[in-house]
Amino acid sequence: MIIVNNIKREWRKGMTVQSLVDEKKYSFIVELNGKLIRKSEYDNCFVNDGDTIFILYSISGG
Amino acid sequence: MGKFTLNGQEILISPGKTLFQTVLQNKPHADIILLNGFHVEQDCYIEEHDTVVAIKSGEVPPKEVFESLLIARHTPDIHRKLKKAIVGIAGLGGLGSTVAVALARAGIGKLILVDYDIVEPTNLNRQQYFIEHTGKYKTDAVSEIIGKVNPYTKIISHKEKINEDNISEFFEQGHVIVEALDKAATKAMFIENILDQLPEKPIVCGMGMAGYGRNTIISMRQVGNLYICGDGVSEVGLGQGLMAPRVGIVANMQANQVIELLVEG
Repeated sequence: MIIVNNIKREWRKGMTVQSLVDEKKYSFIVELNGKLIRKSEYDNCFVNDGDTIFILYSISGG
Repeated sequence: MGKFTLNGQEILISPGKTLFQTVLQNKPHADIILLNGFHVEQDCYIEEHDTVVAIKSGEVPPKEVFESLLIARHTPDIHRKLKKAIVGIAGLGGLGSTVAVALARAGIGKLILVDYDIVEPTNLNRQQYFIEHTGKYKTDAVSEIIGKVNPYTKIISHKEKINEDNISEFFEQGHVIVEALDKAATKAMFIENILDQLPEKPIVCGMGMAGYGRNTIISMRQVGNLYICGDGVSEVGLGQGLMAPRVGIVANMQANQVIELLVEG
């Protein structure tokens, strides 16, 4: 189980930050267990079971 | 002999005279008296550096008294910090129009307003505008509203679309920047460019506010200089429109964050 933006979800083996970022069209800030992850690291940054992730998705409304 | 301030003007303290006697002498019709920001019901003596505001109930006080009312309400130290502050606001929709009016009421010195659009009838369900503003530029309409609320807030307007080439020109003067745009792509472009071009500026953005209810999931999160207000998930879509209360909560949360940044630095 991992927590993405305060919501619990299933963990899959081989999950990367990139795969979570790709779920929405605009996302640009990622914190993995409170640590800021650079864009260039998304692909190689694996998400482990129990991790807490924050992704800032840009979503319409204002 | 010590001085105190009455309605923004420095006056010598008359020895032996009480607060009520002094007010009666200077503002004979005043029936609302604030001493250092608080309503006074019991007479007392004035001390050096006290701030007194005396107005007549129901009467519009002259311009100079407005500012002393703000000082009385917010305390001189907070008022001074807000008065010298410059805040840039990108977008004047449900978020931006509400942030601008809230900050003007709080006594911010200068606002930079950037929006290319005009007021449409469809805006009235959540934005600060009135029917008579329909067809006016939003920058002009917000300026007009602020002029009626706090004429001391200076306004610089840009009626232009924001792009990566004009961002730093419009916003580099601001001490704090507010992202109040509507489309996901524009919001992302703006935030990324502020973080890149003006990395030392705090930016307060609004993300996720569509629909109604769900009060408990609206929050604020800080990542470096980026402050994110909203629920982070509620996107505008079919069956989930933007409504005044939830957009207003996020907008006021943004304005609240701006004030904290300005006062506490």
